[in-house]
Amino acid sequence: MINTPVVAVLGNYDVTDDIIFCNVLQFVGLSPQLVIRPVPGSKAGARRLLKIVANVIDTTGSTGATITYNLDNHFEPPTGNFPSFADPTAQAKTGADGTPNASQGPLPPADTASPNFNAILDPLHYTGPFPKAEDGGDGYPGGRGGTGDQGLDGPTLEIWTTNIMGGVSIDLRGQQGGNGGKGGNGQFGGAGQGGSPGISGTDTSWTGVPYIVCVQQPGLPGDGGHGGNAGCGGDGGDGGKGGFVKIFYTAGVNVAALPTMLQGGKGGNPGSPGNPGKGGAPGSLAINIPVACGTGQNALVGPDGDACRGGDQKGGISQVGNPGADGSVATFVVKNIPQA
Amino acid sequence: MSAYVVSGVQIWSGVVLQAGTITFNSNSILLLAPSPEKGGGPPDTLTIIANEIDIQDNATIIYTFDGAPGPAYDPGTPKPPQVGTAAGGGNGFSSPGTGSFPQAANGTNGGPGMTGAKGTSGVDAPEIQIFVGLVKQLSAGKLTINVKGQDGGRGGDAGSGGNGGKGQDGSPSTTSSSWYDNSKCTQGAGKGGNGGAGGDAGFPGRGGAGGNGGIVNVFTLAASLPLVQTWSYLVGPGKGGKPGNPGSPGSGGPGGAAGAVNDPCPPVPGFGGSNGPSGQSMNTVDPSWPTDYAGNDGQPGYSAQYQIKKVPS
Repeated sequence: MINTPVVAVLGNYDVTDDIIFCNVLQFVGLSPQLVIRPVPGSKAGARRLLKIVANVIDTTGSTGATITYNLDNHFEPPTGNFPSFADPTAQAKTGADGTPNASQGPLPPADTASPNFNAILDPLHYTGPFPKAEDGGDGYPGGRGGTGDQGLDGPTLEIWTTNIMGGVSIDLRGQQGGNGGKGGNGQFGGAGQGGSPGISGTDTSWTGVPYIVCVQQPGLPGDGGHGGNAGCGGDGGDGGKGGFVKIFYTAGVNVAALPTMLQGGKGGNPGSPGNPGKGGAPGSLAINIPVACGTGQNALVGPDGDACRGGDQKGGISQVGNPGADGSVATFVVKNIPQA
Repeated sequence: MSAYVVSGVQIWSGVVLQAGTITFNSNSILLLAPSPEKGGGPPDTLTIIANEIDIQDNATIIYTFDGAPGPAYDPGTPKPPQVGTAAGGGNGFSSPGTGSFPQAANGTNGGPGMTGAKGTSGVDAPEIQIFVGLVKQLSAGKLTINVKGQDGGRGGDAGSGGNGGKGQDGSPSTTSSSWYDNSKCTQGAGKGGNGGAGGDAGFPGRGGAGGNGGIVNVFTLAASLPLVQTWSYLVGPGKGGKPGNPGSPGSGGPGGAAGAVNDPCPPVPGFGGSNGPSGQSMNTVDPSWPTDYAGNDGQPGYSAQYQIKKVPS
């Protein structure tokens, strides 16, 4: 508890206590700002209350006096609200980018699923078995982006006073929710294995004339692997609730000199989706010598991964965060205020 | 001065409770709750101003904001669990008949189960400010102020993965015969299609977050400070809700049979399609899912008692 005759607010005046008892709460200079900060030892998101008991609130020596809050410890320059990074004008933290997040080249080279058959890098396995060679591996999907942090709720501010000289605005709007994190890119599908060559042999007709026969047809090449699905962007975080202001004052005090901004924070925007992975190339056509075995068949190109879509646990359509509820203000006339 | 008597369970829906004397009758409860007449909920803040608080015997200040019927006050009652089970994934498709050479069509994969519904978050407890001049109570610790955060609700159950489709049967071998030659094998038996993979188990619904604990500050004159310091202040956080049950993974589809072998075509051992793999279970995806998918606990509140020289009126 702060208990002192005069509290002078100049520039940014951080308050980490939850009670101020004083005779005069005086705002001085250009855009002085009383900033409600976290109580030491408290964790982010915990409830926060500040009670101000001041016989006199005097802002006549200042312009643009404000009471606001900064509970997420954003950097705040010591110069008042030029500019201000207080929570009502800042945004909660953006969600983490989705993992995995495949490289899609050219630098670094694209992540490609295994197996990925390549005549140069692995000639021994480039051609597959009969009747069908091995398909390329399917790419993994990109991870979904993390949900943006929830905007902080405006604190509760309780003011007891017998005299207001000038005016001070109270900005306890809920913080805007953080944007969703970016979705991860899907991995590329692997290339399919080459088809096995046709195998010929000889036979003889009843007349004893040899001729070439097909002993084994050319094998089917492996299909290209599926490209990995794109990771969806994370949901936007919900906006924080507007704060609550209670003003206890003695008769004759101009309560209108304490204008309030207590709107709920906007929801954060969804994160952008990642890119789907490309499908793998089909395996090469089987070599067919002799032609007696007929024409080899082509394999299929792997389909590209799906773009971010809705409806299942792989991500769903990313959502804008819900707006926070508005706060409110209540005023009460009392005969006298507490004295510490 | 006016008097306010708390008897039995007394609902209070306002922001300020001011009286000359507030009397708590024996085993009475001051319940912060929505007003049935006004509807909606009270602001989660209360300032009590009294010259005197008289506690006849055990008394409690507690809250219930969620409108649950009966004496199920929020600090001791988790949010209701999500009911129902999310939809299961669709089964994979199976091509009928026999397929083309050299390999028949694979069964398609089963769809993943849907994620269970997220549990409902617990309510944040209110903050209560008490200004009192004189406290009377028969013995120490007669007032309990319970502003523990509400526990989050259990998440919903997930859907199960669909089964993979059966692989198509392989094409039969073909032969030819001519007047000048014996029967010949013109095309061997085809390979059966592989069974489709089972759909992955649906993820469990995440438990609802626990509500934050409240704040209680009591301001009183020197004589009564030791008494208010004996009161019980429950300001702990609500616990996060448990996750729902994950779905079951879908079974892999059976492989299609190898094509029929007609003489003189050679046998084709191992040409049956392979069975599709089962979908992934939640234990495979995340062995610590019971912890990872539980709701986050709320943050604790705090309480403090202060001596002042003059009580407001």
